[in-house]
Amino acid sequence: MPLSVCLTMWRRSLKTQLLQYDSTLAVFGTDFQNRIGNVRLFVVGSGAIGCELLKNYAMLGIGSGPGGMILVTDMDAIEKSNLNRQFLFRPWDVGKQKSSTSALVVKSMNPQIRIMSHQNRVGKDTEGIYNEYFFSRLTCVTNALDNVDARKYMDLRCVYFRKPLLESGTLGTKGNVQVILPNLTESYGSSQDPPEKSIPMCTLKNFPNAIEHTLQWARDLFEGTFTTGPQDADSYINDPEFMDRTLKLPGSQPMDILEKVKSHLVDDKPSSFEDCIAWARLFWEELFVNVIKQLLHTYPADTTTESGQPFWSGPKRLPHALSFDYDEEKCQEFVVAGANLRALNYGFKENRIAGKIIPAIATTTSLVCGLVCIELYKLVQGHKNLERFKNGFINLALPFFGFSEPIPADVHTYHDKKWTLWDKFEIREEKAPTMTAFISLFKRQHKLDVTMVSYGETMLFADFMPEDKIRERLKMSMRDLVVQVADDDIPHWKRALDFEAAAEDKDEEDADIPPIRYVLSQS
Amino acid sequence: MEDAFSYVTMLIVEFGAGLGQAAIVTATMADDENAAPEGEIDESLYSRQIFVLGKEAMMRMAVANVCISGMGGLGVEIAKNVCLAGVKTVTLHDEKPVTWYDLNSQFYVKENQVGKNRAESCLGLVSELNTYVPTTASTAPIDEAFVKKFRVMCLSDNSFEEQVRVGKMCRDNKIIFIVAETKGAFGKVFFDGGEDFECVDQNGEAPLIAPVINISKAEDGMVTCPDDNRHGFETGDHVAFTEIKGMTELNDRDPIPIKVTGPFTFTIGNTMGFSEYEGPGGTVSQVKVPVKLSYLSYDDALVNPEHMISDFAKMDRMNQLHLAFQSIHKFEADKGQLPRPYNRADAEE
Repeated sequence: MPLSVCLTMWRRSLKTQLLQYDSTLAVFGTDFQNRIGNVRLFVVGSGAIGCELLKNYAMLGIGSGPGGMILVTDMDAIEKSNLNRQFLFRPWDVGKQKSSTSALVVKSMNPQIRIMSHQNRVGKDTEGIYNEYFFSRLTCVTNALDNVDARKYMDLRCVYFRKPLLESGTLGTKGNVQVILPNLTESYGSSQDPPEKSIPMCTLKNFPNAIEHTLQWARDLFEGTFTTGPQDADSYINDPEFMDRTLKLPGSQPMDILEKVKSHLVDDKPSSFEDCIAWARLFWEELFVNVIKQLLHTYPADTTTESGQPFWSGPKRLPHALSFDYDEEKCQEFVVAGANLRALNYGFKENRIAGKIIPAIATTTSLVCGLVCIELYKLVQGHKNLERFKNGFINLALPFFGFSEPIPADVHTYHDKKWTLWDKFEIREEKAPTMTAFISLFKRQHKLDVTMVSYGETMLFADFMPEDKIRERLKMSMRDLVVQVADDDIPHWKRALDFEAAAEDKDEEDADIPPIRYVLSQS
Repeated sequence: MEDAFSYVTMLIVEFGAGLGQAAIVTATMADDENAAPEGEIDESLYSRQIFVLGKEAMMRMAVANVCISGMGGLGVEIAKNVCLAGVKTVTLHDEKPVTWYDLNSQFYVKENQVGKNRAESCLGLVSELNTYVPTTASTAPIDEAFVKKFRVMCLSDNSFEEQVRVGKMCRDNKIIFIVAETKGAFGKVFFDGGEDFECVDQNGEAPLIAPVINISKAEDGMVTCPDDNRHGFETGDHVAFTEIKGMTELNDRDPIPIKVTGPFTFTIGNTMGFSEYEGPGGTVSQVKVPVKLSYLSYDDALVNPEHMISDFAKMDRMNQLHLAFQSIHKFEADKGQLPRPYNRADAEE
């Protein structure tokens, strides 16, 4: 490279360095800009929140320093309905991967940032990729997810690896931001929204009086018809313990389940798409005619209650059976949807199912992501004082903007030791290779009498087990217990196993103790 | 779920320690003129948004011409959200050139555009956001003839003198006027919807519905709902009845204001003249009644601001910030530049 070109590039980069972040420099200073450049950030999701966050991160220059980077992962492809608020995407991007497209666009907004994209779903399957080494190098995780399960999963991972997590979400004009800080705050999973008012079963089945009731009925019907039914049929074929398990169920459940299995595998098993259509038409007749006729047979329109009141009144609305009409759009839609869904069950042809529509507008997302970035500034500045951070709650329709300090993590105690959800016992494999050594280590170092040890949902040791079993388990190595008893494999990237234990303290009372991180020897 | 409108007259938001770059403004464009909707709304694009705002609000937005002045980081954020929302047209206005300062927050301008007009520089990328929204740039000074072309005028980076001047023009011509600005970690939003702004929905929630089991015939007739179903209404709400038997006079009436007397009961005024209720049966549902709101003009709000409070621990901060914004503007007007950061001499001015 000629010297002059090098010089120009150097000058240009110097000028950009100095000038591009001038506004941020004016507010926070140079040291802050250096820190933010070296931030290593994991952005989980590249939907509406992901797009806004990535744009803000590009403007801030996150990952523009020598040690910094942004990694964004999203398994979804771009759809037309995304374009209304996922503003990094254009009509010609429909069908492309969200994460790689958004990474390209924000890179063009600020060519200095280092950004990578993955198409992975976060979960058990990708723990080999997003493993301990990966997390150990991160500054922070920012969630940009659209469902509670994935949020809970990332929350667990961040607590486990003690990494800060900025969590946010929107629903229509409402939005929230939650700051989760290692050793300080509670986690996302610590507090739960009050459960949605559940609808009584009989209201759903026979006496719906609001559209919510019929929507819930339709969702349950979907679940039973297209999810659990085929699952049971699959278990019947592939799981040798399915029959034993099913027959042990109470009441009429075994009969109901087995009848459905028979219907799926023998009686109503379709062999063509035409069979699916026929099935859907009959299913319609059953749901909207036969069931209603049966109900009206049991409780005719003029039935009265014991107190003489009409039975069909108040919240009990009198139903009437429908007659199928091919010109009626809803009847057609039902058969089309039902047939396609059933075809999917049996793998006839690919089809797209529209998800549940979640209300969303760009403005709420834009605001919530601004608030996330403000918390990120504080995090990068290295604040450790809870009062500096703010969880945010907004509703643009009112409008309402509320901020509150994050809630500190609950403090538990055993003996005189205090601990929170961020703490774990750490035990090294070489110090306690077998269950015997494991238990005696607790006795020696922590004055705790271990009464039970479990791995995931499997109990490995309990003092109430038969004596010969206890003797056998005590002799086994912790590794073998996981592989042989809990039937789990230990992949090469795994650095630690997670156990939980119940124990008694000095006074023989049940002790409230943290979970155990069992660090494997690297051989 | 209809269009929801803000009560904001003057809102100052302080973000603990951050750039107040989050755009907290998106012009809400519905109005009391029932302009004829033009064309169809593309539901495959707008499905999520229709679910929030309702079709009627979408139709009203689809006929509104909007101008956003000041294409800095805040202006482009507003322009982005307004374009995505799907108004009739968007005009990006700016007389200033792109500077290095803009590259830190204006995500639609590039290094090689420094020195060129800001509105023209970002026009291409902004107009790509929504093919249904024609977007143009304007670089001429704002005068009355220009303002009259719009339903909503939003200023995001203008001098104090210009804010007051345009604010007055908008008020005189019944144009919705919005001021938004950010200074470092602080931000300010002002909204003037005029003296008789119609708010169709005050909270954006779905109307409540409850079954009825009894209605008394009395001076102040009482409606009872089943005791497993809190009605959730509030005193002052308006309700409508359907499928009421006996007291059929209640069906299909104009919405009735109510007084809540308990979680399962409320009163609806004199029912003596009606027939006897034959129950149980029928449904009562909340009806959203449009409310007239009167906003302060920018001039009046500067002297007597009505603030919205977001952090009750810092109540008196609002008035301080209100004055701080005015002081900064004065400094800028006097000295021709913003105060230098962390500069004692400038701070003492």
